[in-house]
Amino acid sequence: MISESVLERVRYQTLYPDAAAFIRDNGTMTESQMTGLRVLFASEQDVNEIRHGYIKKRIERSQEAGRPEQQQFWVALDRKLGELQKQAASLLGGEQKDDVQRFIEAFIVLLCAENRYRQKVAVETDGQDLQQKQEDSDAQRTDHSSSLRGGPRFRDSTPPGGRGRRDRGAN
Amino acid sequence: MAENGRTVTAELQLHQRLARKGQDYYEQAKELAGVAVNKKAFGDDRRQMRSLETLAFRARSPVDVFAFIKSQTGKEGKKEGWRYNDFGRRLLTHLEELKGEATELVQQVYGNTQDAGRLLEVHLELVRLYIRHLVSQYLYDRPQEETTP
Repeated sequence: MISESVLERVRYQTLYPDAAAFIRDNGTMTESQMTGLRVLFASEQDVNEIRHGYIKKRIERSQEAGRPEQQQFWVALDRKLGELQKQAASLLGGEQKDDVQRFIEAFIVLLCAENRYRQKVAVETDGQDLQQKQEDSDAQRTDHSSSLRGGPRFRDSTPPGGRGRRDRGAN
Repeated sequence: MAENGRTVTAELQLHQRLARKGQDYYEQAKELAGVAVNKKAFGDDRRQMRSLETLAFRARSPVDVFAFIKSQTGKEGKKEGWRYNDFGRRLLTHLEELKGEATELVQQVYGNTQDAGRLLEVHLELVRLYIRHLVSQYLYDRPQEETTP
């Protein structure tokens, strides 16, 4: 079984920066999607089942909804989880299901903290605002209608919430 | 006497250097404590700062503290709270940057920067030290803020 100290070192050196980089590069998910993911891991559902079930469904739905950015997010997350599974197996010297699960769950916890943070805090990197704010579809509609009632106007592709921020929305 | 490469001398040296860092952090923490005490941040509601302090002292890694700050800063709420005057982001950036100081300390005391476990421990100690000063200063400033009209 993976020792606490090894897991802590990996969280510190690898998983924390990886989670930050993932959200920076791929944008954010909605609060409800994040909760869904957390619940699945908290209920100890196998990571392969989550990849082939929940995440696959998110990919399909975003494709159907014609949201390539959102689709790319979930494809990237699926790929990242695959990489982490391999990394965990290699670190642990073989496939140990429980340890791999703990390893990935540790990543998901950090990913969700980063996700929530980036929904609210703009990131200045190379002069670019990389924040990609998302709202649940209900919240989106509410915000949008309030902006039409006299709030600031946005171009069609720009959601309420910030200039140049991309919205992945909810599926 | 050495345990896992640690000597009593090295541990004493580390404690001395941490104490010196504490003096620096005492001054550094005043500015952010001034932000925290504002009514738009936490005002007289001590719970957030107390939670931060408790978490920091129970944490096994600086990452636990960073994730807490990120979650709190990103939380929906009526009050600006952690986002007031960029409090959460500034605190997070400062604590993350303490890794540089931790690396220097590990190098100075143990002569080895490749030991991730030791770096994690020293970084966590620095994070706790800073938070201890931040929370103390906040609690000290808080009643003064209350008497301001």
